[in-house]
Amino acid sequence: MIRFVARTFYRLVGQSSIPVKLGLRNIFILPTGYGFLFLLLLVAMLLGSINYNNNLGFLLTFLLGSIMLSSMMHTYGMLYGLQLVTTETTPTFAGEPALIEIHVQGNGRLRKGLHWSFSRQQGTEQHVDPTERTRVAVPLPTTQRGLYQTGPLRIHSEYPTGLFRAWSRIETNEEYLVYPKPISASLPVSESDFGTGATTATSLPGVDDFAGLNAYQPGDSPGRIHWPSFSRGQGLHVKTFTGLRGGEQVLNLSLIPGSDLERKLSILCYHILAGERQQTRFGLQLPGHPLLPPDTGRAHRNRCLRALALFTPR
Amino acid sequence: MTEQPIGALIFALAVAMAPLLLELPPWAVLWSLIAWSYILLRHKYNWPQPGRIVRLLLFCLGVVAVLLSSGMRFDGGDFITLLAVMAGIKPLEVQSYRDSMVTVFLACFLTITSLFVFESLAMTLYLFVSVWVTTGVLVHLNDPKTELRQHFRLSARLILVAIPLMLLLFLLFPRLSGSFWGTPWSRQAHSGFSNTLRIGDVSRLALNNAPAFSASFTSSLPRASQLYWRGIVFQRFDGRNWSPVSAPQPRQTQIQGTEKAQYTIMLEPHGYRTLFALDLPLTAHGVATVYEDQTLRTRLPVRQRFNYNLTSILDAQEVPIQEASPLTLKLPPGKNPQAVALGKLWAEKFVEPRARMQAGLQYFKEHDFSYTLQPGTLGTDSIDDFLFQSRKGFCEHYAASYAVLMRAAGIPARIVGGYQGGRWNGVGKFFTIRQSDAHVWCELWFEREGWVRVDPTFVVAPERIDQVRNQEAMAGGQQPVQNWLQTDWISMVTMTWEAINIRWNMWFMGFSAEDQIALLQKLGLSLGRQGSWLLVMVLPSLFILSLLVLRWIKRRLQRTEPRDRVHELYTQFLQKTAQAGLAKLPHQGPLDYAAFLRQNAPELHEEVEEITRLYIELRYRRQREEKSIQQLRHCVKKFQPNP
Repeated sequence: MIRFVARTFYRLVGQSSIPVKLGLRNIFILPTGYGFLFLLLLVAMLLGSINYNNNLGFLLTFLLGSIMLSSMMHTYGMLYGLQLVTTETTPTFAGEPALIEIHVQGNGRLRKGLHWSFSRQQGTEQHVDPTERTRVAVPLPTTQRGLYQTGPLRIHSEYPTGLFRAWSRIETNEEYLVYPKPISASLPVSESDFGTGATTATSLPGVDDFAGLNAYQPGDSPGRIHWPSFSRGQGLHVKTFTGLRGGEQVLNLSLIPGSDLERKLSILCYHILAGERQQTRFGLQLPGHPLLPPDTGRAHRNRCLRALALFTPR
Repeated sequence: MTEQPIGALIFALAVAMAPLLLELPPWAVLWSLIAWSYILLRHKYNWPQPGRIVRLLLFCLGVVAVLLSSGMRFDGGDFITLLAVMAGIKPLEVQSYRDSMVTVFLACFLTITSLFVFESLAMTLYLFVSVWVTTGVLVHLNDPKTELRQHFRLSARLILVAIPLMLLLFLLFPRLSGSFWGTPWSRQAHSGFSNTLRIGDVSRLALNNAPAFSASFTSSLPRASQLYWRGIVFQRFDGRNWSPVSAPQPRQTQIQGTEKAQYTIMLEPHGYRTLFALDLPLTAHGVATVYEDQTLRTRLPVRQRFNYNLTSILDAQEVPIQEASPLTLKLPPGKNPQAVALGKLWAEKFVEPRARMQAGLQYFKEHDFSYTLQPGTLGTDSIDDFLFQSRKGFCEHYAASYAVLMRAAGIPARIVGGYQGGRWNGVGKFFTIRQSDAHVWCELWFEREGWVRVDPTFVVAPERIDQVRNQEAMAGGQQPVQNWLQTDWISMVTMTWEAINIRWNMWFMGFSAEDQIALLQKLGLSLGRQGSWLLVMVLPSLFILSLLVLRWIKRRLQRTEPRDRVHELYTQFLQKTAQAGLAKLPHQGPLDYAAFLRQNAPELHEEVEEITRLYIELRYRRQREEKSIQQLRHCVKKFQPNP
């Protein structure tokens, strides 16, 4: 019921979307529960003052009332003029909160007590600097892999007195990707479906056996830099390894036993991550989709994970 | 759950409670102090947080203790004690934000209770301190990471902004007169004169230095001998107690005279219906009725400090002269035989009533009577005891025995209770009359004259009245400057403080519904009752609007302040080139643009080169030189591309 009223209300007042400068049109303010309690206290004080015709009582009541009003202006000012410039999303794994980054500008005022959230369950508290551009990472809880859209962003502040809450609701339709949650499980060996596996196996870089040092080239993993030789002044070298099993690997969904599709995708996810970490060449075969040929690197990993996230069985 | 700022909360409670310190029983103060120090030291010594049961027990213990100390009679004062006891143990249970907020509200409530107990200028000033601290702590609760000091700064700003609206609301918020329920809040309900007078009552008052009322004159000041502030007239005497007539009638007669005094009295609440006025009151301008014994009484007891305007005639004569009531000749049979006998003796000896009056005064003068505050106890025939044995007494003794003597001598006599004299405050130009100025004197009735004031105490202790005269002479300007310099600065300061207080009480504390209507009329805003409610609706919106306008103006001012002259000049340059059809594209930097101009308008090359060089230099160098800016301005001004 309340939700329905709220929705109708927001539809009537009109929606704003990023980029936006918060102003009279999209900031709302109401007393909080404590605000109402305080009002009740003021009414009691007023009645007491009238009853005892006590001018000092009147003075206190009016002073507190006026402070309440001026604190309302302050609370409103925490949002007024706040500029939301852009949003930026990064993919995440199901179960972990997706962090939606919002770039904001304070426009000359320190804005405190700002609470940012996309959902009721999770949000973040962050103030905004008056002059510098601030990045706010708003967490959004995820449960299921897939491609989602961020809903309305709620920003609220109760600073300074907690008697009022000013809030703003900004529509954001940013897409964000949720990868399956990685689950560690062994994979049936699927080496070289192309039949080339055996011949290339020994020569490919791997992780198991130390093969020697090579001169560092840009792009080499910093984790493999051989620091002792660097400290001897011999320049940068990286350790190289050869894989015993080595070779190319194609991760195939249909080869994983079990009936739970999500679990199988999760297992694949784990192996994609492991493959990237170990710098093996891996490909991905999902039924009904073209093969992603074996490759290495971050971009390839992301491409594979994206395919997992978006996979729908046909 | 985050750690709550207990220290700040206790500070707010302590500040709110401080004015009540002397009103509270010592055990309640100790109670709060112990509970607070426990909480404050808890973390240091790793003491446990009191559990739910302990807190409940403490709560019950507190309530029981308050009830016991009040003797099961629960009044306003005990309510304050209860509040203080609760404020003492409240911090014990503060664990969440919610508890903290409630504690702050409790502090607000404590503040208002102390206002009900003390109504003074000092309290008014303290009120702002208390609100300042409470608001600061409230802000601190909502932003616990920042230092408390900064929140106090914000709190001060909030208060400063709020004060104009507060004043407007105070002046314009519709006031109702009268109360909704119950007897108003007061610790001691009655002070000053009661409705019966027994010997010993007034001397008890004489030790009380509390102010009874103050009077400021718009007409010329009366002489010291005229400062008889009439309150109650006691006509009935039963041998022990004097009391007024039970059902007095409003005055039917007129009074006439030449010396008119016009003045305003600000009366401290005393819980009775009596108002005080100089002999004899002509009118109280509708505040009270004048009764046939020339006293003023209000419809309801005075429970609030309030001002009233009076006109008195100092040499008043009643027309037509009223017959004295037979009550004023009556003496209880069998009591005080010696005094009665003496009176009767005078009645036989002197035919003329005036002579009998003189005989009575002469009697006090000739015998060894003394004026003292410790007269000692008297027997059952108290008048006889005093007249013939102890001969030591206070004004009440003289007035009562003189009245008895005169009644015995056949002259109608009655006793008037009130105040005599007062201390002149030269700073504020008013008299302060204290309880210690309480006085009783007599009135005798003579044919063709009516009631005449006779003060037998004056015969015995003329210095009582002389004292006032000295002060008056000082203030009246007979030896003005020198005396002011001679008065020590302490009395100077106290007088000034008293004067400020009285002024404050006059126009602030006494501000009432009537004053408000008068004010609105003066402003030309006589909207009636409903109209003023409308005003209250409009006020906050006006307040918010004015804040918005102020903020907007401030922003405008700030925006124009750090002018970027270099940028302005370069923009001018760009406008000129744009007019020539060579507008800068958004992606072009100054150097790119210079190159672009060189291609498209080679004849401008030198000037463009110079402007660009200066602009880049000014823009990206650490230090800006005024000379370069001048140069740039000159160049841009000179620059004239042909379209």
